[in-house]
Parts: sequence; structure tokens; C-alpha cells
Amino acid sequence: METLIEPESSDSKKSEPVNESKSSGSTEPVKAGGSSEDVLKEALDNQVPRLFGVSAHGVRGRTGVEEEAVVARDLRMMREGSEAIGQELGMETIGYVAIYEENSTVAYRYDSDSNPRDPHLIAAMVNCRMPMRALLKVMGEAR
Amino acid sequence: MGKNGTSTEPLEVLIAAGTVRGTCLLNNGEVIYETFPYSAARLVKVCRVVEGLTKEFKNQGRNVDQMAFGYEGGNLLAVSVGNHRIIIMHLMNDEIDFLAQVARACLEDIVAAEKPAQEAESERISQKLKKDFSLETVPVVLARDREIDGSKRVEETAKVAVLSAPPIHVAPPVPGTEPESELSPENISLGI
Repeated sequence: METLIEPESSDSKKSEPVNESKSSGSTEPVKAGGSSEDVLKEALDNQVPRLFGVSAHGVRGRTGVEEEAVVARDLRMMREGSEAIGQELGMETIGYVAIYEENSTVAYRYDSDSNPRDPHLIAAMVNCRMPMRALLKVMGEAR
Repeated sequence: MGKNGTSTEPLEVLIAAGTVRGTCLLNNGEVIYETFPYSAARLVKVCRVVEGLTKEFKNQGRNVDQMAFGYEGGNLLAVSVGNHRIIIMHLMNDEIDFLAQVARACLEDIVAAEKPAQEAESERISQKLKKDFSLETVPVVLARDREIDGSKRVEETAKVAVLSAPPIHVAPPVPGTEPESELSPENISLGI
């Protein structure tokens, strides 16, 4: 499964309004208007997941390029780990991966409805230890 | 009981929980107990990936204490507390939160059970050191060359702490068991 998770360059971002719903990152549940800083602040204040669309074209979210870079880096590590484990256990079709640290959760989930040749992923970051069941539900609804 | 004497009793609850198909307990990255339906070599490789991933995050200053991997045929959950980690293989992804809670409780029990044993061992070593060695302060004379009134040598006293070991008792040789010396009377030729 080939999925590029490099973030898009900041130059390509500048031309698009961050809150426009046509982008693949329109899965963000935060309905705040304004800049990516406002969206990020509202998401952090309310401890709601910041969602990102991930495809061969890059990571797209609504909370700024810096967050997209973090998601891209985390996804690369998580994907490598999950592929290595899956290979050993004979389970190579990955559905989701999640990591929990002190007060945050990062997860990604494959969109099974996406084109297998250009698979689409939904990634999520939240500044609390969110139950996996709820997080998977949010990511599932965002497809 | 695990490889290094760690009690695995708390794990019994976990092994019987939900759709758990395999459980593995690690201490400092070493597998000390496992019920995985895979070969030990495969399991060690899986554990190394989990440890490696945790280390990679740690290098970024992030303390990842729980990981969940979902596949078409099953799920893998890794939960760590201190130096201990539990890796669980289970079938239903709805169980992740419940199993993570149970795993964390198990690990806390294991860590708590090990604590008194570690404290007792530490106390035993401390008592043995106190019994075998004594620390005493003795006066010593320090000789220093000082340029006072020409080249007068001045002696000063100070106190230093000395760790004294007990005397070594050498048992007297048992008759008939001492090794034969080349200089024993039998071997000495008088040239007569």
C-alpha cells in the first residue's frame, strides 16, 4: 500500500482558504470560522479531535501547516511500525493505528471506501486521552 | 510465575477477558511470560517493533504508553507502566478501551507486588554491608611543606573516614590435605 504522507509545501497552502470545505481536510468537526490559529485554539480549548485528510497528495487539515507536518511525521512512524507488526503476524491489511501519550492521542484510520490505488486515510490528533472507540467513530464519520 | 520471578497472577484476568487470543508480559524489553499463538521468534520481533517505536517517540521527548494496531484479522494492543509492558492480541476492536484499562490495572498490580521485594532486597544488602564493614573516623597526620620561616616542615592532623573490612580468617591446613611441595623433605636430595 503506497501512501505518501508528506505534508504539502506551505506555498501551495497559501493560495487556499484554510476553512474551505472542498479540501480533503474538511473532516474537521470544529465549526469555527477564521484563521487556522482560531480553529486550533477552539479545538484545543474544547478537547475535540483535529482531523486531517491524508492521501498521496499530502496531509490536509485546518489547523495549520505545522500541525500537518507533525501528523505526517507521526503517521510515517506509525505506518512503518504497523506494517512491520502486520507482516510478522500475517495480518497485512491495516485498519487503524493509535498512540497515547501523557495527555494526547494521535490516530489514523484507513478509509476502506477509498480507491485502493490511491488510498485515503483520516488522521486525528486530540489533546486528551480519548477512548479509542469514540475516536474511531469520529474518524469513521469523517470519511 | 514469569521468567524472573515476576508474579503473572494478575494476567489471568486479562487472558480470560473478551476475545483475547494472546498476552505477553515484558520487563525492560525482555519477554518474561507469553501465551501468544505464534512462535517465540515472531513474538520477539513484534516486541522489538513496539519497543523501537516507543524509543523513537521517546527520542522526540514523547512518552507513549499505549499503542493500538488494528488489522483485518485482529488487533494488537500495547500498554506500559514503568519498565513493564503488556502486549495483547484480541479480535474485536470494540474491546480496546476495556482491555487497555484491565492491562493497566494488571501492570500496576505487578509493579506494586515487585516494590516490597525490591525494598526488602535493598534493606538486606544495606544490613549486610553494615554488618561486614564499619565506617570509622580516625586521626591521621598530614605532612605539608610550608614556606614558614625559611623551609620549616609543618605537620597537621586531620580526621578521615575509613571503611574497614572484617579480618580474613584463613583456616589452618588439614593434615594430609596440603599440596606436596617441591621442597618437602622427601624431595630434597642431600647428595649423599
